[in-house]
Amino acid sequence: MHSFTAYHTDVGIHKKINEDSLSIQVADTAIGEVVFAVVCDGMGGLQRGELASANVTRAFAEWFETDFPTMILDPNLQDKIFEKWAEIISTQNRVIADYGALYKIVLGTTASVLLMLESGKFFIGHVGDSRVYCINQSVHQLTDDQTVVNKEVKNGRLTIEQAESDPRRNVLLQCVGASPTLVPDFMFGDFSVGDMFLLCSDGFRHEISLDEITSHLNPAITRDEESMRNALVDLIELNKQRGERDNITALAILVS
Amino acid sequence: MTAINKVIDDKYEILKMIGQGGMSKVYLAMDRRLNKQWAIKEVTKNDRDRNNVHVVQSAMAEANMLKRLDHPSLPRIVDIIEDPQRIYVVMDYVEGESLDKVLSMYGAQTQEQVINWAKQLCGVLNYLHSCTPPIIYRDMKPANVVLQPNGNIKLLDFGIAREYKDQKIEDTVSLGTKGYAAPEQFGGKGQTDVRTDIYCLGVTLYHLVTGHNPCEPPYELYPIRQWNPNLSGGLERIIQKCTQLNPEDRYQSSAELLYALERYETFDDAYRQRQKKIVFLQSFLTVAAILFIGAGFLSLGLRARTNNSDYENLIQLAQKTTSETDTERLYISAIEIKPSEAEAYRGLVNIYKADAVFSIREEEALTKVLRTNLSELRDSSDYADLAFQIGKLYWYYYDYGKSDATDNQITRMKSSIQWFEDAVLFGSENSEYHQMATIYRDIGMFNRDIVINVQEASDSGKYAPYFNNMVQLLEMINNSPDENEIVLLEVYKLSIYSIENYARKFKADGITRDSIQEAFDNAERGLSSVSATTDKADELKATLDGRLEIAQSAIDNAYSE
Repeated sequence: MHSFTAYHTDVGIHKKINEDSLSIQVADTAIGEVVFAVVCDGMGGLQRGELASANVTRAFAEWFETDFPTMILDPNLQDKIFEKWAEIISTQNRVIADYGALYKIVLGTTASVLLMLESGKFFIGHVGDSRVYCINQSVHQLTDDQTVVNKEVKNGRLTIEQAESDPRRNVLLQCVGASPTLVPDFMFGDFSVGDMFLLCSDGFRHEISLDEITSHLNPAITRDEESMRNALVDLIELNKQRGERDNITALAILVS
Repeated sequence: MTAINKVIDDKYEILKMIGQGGMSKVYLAMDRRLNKQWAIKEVTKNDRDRNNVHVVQSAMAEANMLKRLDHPSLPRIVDIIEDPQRIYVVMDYVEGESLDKVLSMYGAQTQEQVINWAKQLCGVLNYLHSCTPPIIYRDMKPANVVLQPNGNIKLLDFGIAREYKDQKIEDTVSLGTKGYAAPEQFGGKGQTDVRTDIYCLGVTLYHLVTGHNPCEPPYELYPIRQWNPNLSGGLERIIQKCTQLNPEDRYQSSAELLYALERYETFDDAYRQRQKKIVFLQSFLTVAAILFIGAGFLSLGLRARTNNSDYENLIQLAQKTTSETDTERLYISAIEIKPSEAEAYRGLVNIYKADAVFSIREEEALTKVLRTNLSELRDSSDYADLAFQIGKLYWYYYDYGKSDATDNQITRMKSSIQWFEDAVLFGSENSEYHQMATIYRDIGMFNRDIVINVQEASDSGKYAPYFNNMVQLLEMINNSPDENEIVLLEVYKLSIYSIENYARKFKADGITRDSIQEAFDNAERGLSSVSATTDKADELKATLDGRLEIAQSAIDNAYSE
């Protein structure tokens, strides 16, 4: 397996601070090439959301560097990975909540984590409304937004169109750092050569369509990291032109 | 930060810190002059922090608003002290445990307990919503409700220094940090009104009675019986109605919610099953009534709308219902919605007198609704007319102490005096019943007091005014031939018996024989023109026919001496 990676993040047209954090790591291991990516969208406005997102991103990156190598030969690798990720999320949830309690502020972050193995297996851990897409002939949204409006859509109380303009569209059901009870989503699957993975904060997807995303990020014609990065920059600029006020972050991984 | 033991304003000694928010701290303080404990909220000023300036301004604004309030479920604000560095808001120190702590320690609370708290919370919301302009609390949640050692609750934290105001629409937030906010509270535009508080109260009740925080998985307000099948279906319906996404679909006022809470059992399935038949029969009338009222009341404000339609609805139903107990129930329900409207009471009076007997049970039911609502009712413009009707109900139909052997005329009169008194007191002098009410009252008072006056030998001079009242009453009755036969007969009875008993006294007080004879003739003529249609009237008429001769001879005897 060989992977191309690219990322771009932008504070956006309105906020003073970029509260998003991201990490991409590629490693050669005993089981072949492994790609690990994290996107966290911090929140709290004036209240230091960037601390929360950076902290969680850093905790996952550290796990990948120090803990993951010790478990790659474990026959129950999948269970081990999810077990550890649950532990990290739960610990971070407590640490951030404690920090908030100490300074009397409320802060938190989303967390979407992707691990890809040479064997063609991928693993995802997910809290909040950042997203992981898989793009090949079509676009598949792999994660499920943990938002109030998404819940309402699933229950048939809102249509997708209504959800986009609903005042509660930015309300998360849970996040790392501000939820007494946190139940992350974990999922896994198989990927093939030619698949492209896209991780993004919600700022990346409100103002542009899936068609626009695939017309820029087409795995069939993307051949290098440079053009992937340009595509991400173009899409983020498009978002800003259309008035998106949030921080915008996206990263892409192409398997070749 | 204010040091422990520091004395503020030469009066309040800081004892310890009991709470802390982002920009405010709460201390327990001792009032040195009153030797009493207060809670003092301190907001520190910081001119360089734009957010802080906002917090300080809103703290002052809210403190100034709250100091005008006085309700048993609200802490009073007794002092506001401002210095260049800080604001101190001095308020009642509320002892007890907040309901979120109670929940985390003991889990779900009993249904009875929760309904009791719900009523108290409804009461205080109603008080806030009735202020001009209405105060919307916006932050109802277990953490803001304190259970006091005496079992009553107090509502705390009016967002003095509440800090979410600077949050921007595009900021992502987590459900848990927004508390139990209603859908319309998201998005910063703040289209909140009294129905926002209804929503938050509904969610609070949900958490209290199920023990499940709706801000935690599964993030859903399931029907409460899904958590505990033993809970009331009525309460389930109430909570579901409170927590509708669309404000239009919720209870429109806290009074309406309180009304539902007070009879939550009637919303239970079993009860509804029993009522279904009646509801079915009446439903087409209800539809007609709603359409009519909808057209008529469109111009009224949102809050009044549902109340009005409910009220009018009940009245309409009551007027169309034939069963006396159903009608009574409908009118009483209507009264509970609008205790200051006379119409429903008048409906009750009419059904109570329909069978010419105002029974003891009926009297108890009427007294119950009157006693609780009398002060509000007295503000109503047609209270006087209602009081007059109630007076007549007692005067002519009250059944207490009545038996085959003895009449209860004195009891009936005595019971009615206060109502005629109210009719005189609250009614306009030009009203048609004003003169009649005065006469009834005076006749009643005469009959109530005469026995004692005779015993005290102070009765002299009382008879002439009484006689004149009696004559006037007779005249008025003869001029209204459509009056109920029982009313006519009772007036003739009063006249004939009075002549029989007091002929000599009338004479002594200077009434001429001609006057008395004229009164007697009037009564006799009236009596003969009554064609009794009921057994009760027939019996009474026969008795009176038998007394005519005795009364006539009483006149003859008195004036022959």
